[in-house]
Amino acid sequence: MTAFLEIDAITKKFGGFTALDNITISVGRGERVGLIGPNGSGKSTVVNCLSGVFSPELGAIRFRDQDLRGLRAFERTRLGIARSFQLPKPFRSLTVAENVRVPLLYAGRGRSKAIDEQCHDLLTRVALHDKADWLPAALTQVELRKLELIRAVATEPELLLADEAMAGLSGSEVTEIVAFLLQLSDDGVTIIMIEHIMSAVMSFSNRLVVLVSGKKVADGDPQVVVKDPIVESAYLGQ
Amino acid sequence: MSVEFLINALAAGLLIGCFYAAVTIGISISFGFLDIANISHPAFVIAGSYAAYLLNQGVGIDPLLSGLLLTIPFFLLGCLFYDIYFHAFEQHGREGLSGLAFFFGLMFIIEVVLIMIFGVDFRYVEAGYLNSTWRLGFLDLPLRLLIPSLVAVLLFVALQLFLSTTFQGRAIIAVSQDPSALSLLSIRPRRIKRLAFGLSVASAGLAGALLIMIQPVEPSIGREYIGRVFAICVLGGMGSLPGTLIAALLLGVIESLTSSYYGPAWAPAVSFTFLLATLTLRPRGLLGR
Amino acid sequence: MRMPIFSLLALVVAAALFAAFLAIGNEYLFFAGYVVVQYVVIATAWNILGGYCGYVNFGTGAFFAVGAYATVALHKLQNYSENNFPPAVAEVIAVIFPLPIPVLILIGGLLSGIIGLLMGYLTLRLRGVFFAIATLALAVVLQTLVVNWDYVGGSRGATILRPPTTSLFGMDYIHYLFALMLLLAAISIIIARGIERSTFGYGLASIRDDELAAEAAGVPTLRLKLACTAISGALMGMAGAPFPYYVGYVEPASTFSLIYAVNAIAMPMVGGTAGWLGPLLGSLTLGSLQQIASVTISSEASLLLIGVILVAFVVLAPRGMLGWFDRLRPKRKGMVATGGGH
Repeated sequence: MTAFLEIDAITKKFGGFTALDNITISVGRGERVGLIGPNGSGKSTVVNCLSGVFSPELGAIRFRDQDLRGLRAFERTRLGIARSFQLPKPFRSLTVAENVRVPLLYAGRGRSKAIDEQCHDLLTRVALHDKADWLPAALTQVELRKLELIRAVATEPELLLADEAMAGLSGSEVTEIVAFLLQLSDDGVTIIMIEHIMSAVMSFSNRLVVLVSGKKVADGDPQVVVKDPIVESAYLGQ
Repeated sequence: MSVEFLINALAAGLLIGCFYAAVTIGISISFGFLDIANISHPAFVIAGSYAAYLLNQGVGIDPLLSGLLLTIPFFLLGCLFYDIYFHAFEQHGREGLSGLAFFFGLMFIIEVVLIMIFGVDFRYVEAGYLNSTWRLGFLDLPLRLLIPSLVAVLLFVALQLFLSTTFQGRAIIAVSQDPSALSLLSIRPRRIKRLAFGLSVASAGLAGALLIMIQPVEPSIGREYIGRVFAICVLGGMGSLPGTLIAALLLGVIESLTSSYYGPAWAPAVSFTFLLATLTLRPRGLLGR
Repeated sequence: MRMPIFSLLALVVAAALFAAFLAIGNEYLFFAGYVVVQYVVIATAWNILGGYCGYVNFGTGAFFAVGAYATVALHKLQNYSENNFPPAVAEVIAVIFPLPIPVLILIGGLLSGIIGLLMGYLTLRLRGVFFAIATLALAVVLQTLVVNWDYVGGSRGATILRPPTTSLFGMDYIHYLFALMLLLAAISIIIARGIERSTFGYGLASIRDDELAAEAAGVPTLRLKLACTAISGALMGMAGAPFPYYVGYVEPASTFSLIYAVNAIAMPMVGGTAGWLGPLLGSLTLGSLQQIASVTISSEASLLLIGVILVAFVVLAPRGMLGWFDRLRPKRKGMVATGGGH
C-alpha cells in the first residue's frame, strides 16, 4: 500500500548549494506532522517543492499515487495541496471577502452553496466576517495570518502546508491558530506544520520531522524525537 | 565575399560591442543591482550626445573632454531622479506599474524636448582626429570608432575596479543581494542606491558623448537602444560586469555581420530577436545556470 | 448594475453621442471626435492588461500599427492581384474587395491578438518588467519590418483613397468611421466592465497583486495572462484597422509613433486604473486636451504636455483622478493604492 503523500528521495540544488539532500518523508492521511529545523535547513524548500514553486533535480513526489512532476502550482492546488505563505501574501487590492472568493472561484469544488454564502461561512470560522469589506492593509498581524490560512482552506485541501503560520504572534494568538489547525485536522485535513515556535509544534503534532542543513536527521514521535541526542546537538542544544 | 571583408566586419562589430558595453553598464547597475528598470537610460544617453554637441559646436570643446565633464551633472541628475523614484514608488512598493510608467514618461519627455530644441535632423561633433583611419594591412580601424571603444573599455574597467575594491562599490553589490545586511553595518541602503543610480546615469552622459563621436544622432534613435541594452544586460547575467562585456561584444559582432551582409536597415531587428531569444532561452544569462 | 443593462446603456450613450454630433453638423467635430474615441478604445484595451493584470505594455503603437497595416495590405491586394495573380483568383478578389471596414476591423484585431499571444508566450513566464521591455522592442522591430516591406509602401508610406460616401445608406464616410469607432469604444467598455466582475477579472486581480499567491489559490496564471494579452492586443489592433481610411495616408513613422504608447499609459494612469471608468475619463480629458493644445499651441507642445501630465500623475496622484473621490467612499476600510506588484 502506498502512502497518502510520498516524498521520495528528493534533492534540490541552487547553484552549488544543496538545499535538500536526498529527503524521504512519507505522510499518511490525517497525520499532523511538525516539520522543524534551524534557519536555512530546507523546510521552506520542502514546501516549495511540494506546492510546485521549485522542482527537485532528483527524486519524486507522489500525492495519492499521482506523480506531481511537471504539474504547475495551480494544478497541485486543485489536486488538494494547499499552502500558506511564510510572509502573508494577501491580494492587496481586493477586500477580505474577495481574497477568499478567488480560491473559491478557481479551486473550490463544492458547488452546493452560493459563493457569497461560502465566503461568509469561511470568514466566520476565523472571525473575519465583520471585516469582509475591509482591505488587507487595515488588518492586524494575526488577522492577516488568519486570512492567509482561510484562503488556503477555501481551496478545500486534503493536505495543508502551513509555513510558519504563527511567526510574530503573541502567546494567546498562537493558541488560537493551533486550535484552528487542530479543528481542521479533525475535519479530515492532513497538515504539515513548519514552525519555529516549539510549544505550538509540540501541542499540535503527532509526529515530528527534523531537517538540518538539507538532511533529515530525525522522524518519529515528537516526545522521542526532541530527546534524540542528534537533534538536541544539531538543533535544540547547540 | 572576401575574408578581408569578413574580418573588417568582425573588427567593427567588436569595437561597436565595446561601446554597447558602455551604454549597458549603466543598466547593469540600475536594473541588475538595484532592480530599477530604468527604460529612460537610452534617452539619457541621447541627452548626453546633444550636450556634447552643444559644447562642441558652441564652445569648441573636444567631445571626449565634454563626455568626462558631463558625468558630473548627470551624476547629480541621477541622484535627484533616484530620490523622486524612492519617495514616489519604492517606499510604497509601487515600482511595478507606476515606476515603469514614470521612466517611460521621462524617456518621452526627453525625446520631445530634444525634438523641440534641435528638430529631427541628424547632429554630429567635430574633432580633428575623428576623420582619420588607422590601417593595419587590410584592416581598417576608423578612429571615430576606435577611440570611443577604448574609452568605453576604460570606463568599464574603472567601474569594475570601483565595485570590487572600494567599500562603497562592495556596498552596491551587497545592496542587490541583501539590503538588511547593510543596515547591520550601519550603512543606509538608500544612500548606497542613490550613489549607484547616480553613477548609472553619469555613465549614460559619457556614453552619449561617445555615441555622437561614432555616428550622427537624432532624438529618437535612443529607442533602438532599449532592446539592445536590456538584451545585453539580461544575457550578461543581470549585473555581472564581465558577462555584460561578453554579451555586448557578441551582439556587436552579430549586428555588424547582419548589416554588412544584409544591409543596415535590418540592424534594429537583430537586437529584438536577440532580446526575445535571450528571454526565452537564457533568462538567467550566458554565464548563469 | 447588471451586465445586460450596462451594455444597453453603453450602446445608447454611443448612439446618442452620434446623434448629437450629427445635429451639431460640424465636420471638424467628427475628425477630432474620431481621434478621441479611438483613444477611448486604446486606453480601455491597455488597461485590461495594465490595470487589471498589472502587466505594462509599451508596444501599443505596434499593436495599433498591425491593425492599420493589415488594412493597407488588404487594400492594396485588389490592384496587386490584377497584375500578379492568375485571372481566376483576381476575379474572385475583385468581387470580394474592397472589404467592408467591419471585416477589416476583425482581421486587424485577430492579427494583433495573435501577436499579443506570441509575445506573451515568450515573455510572460518571466517577471512583468521583461514583458514591458519586450513590448517596447517589439515596436522597433515591427517598424523595421514595415520600413523594409515595399508592398505597403516602405518608409515612403501608402496612400489610401477614401470614397466620399459609403454604400451603407449613402452615409458620409467620416460619419461612418466615427460611428464605427464609437461602437468599438462601447464594445471595449462593455468587455472591460464584463471582465472586472467576472471570475476572469478576479483571477487577473490576484495576478496583479501577487502571482505566487494567485497560483496557490488555484489560478492558472499563465493561461489568464495570455488570454488577457490577446484581448488587449486585439482591441488595439481593431482601433488601428480603420485608421488608414481616416488619415488617407499611412507611413511607418507616424503609425508606429510613440504617442500611442504614451497615451495608452497616460490615459488610464490619469483617470485611474482600477476599473473601466478611469481609462474612459482619462482618454476623454487627455484626448480633448491634446486636440485643443495641438490646434492652439503646437503639436510638439501637446506631446510634451502629455508626457509631463503622465509623470506628474504617477508621482503625485498614483490612483488617478478617480482616486480623488475615494474619500467619498468610506465603506472600504484601509484604502490602498492598487496596481503594485511586479
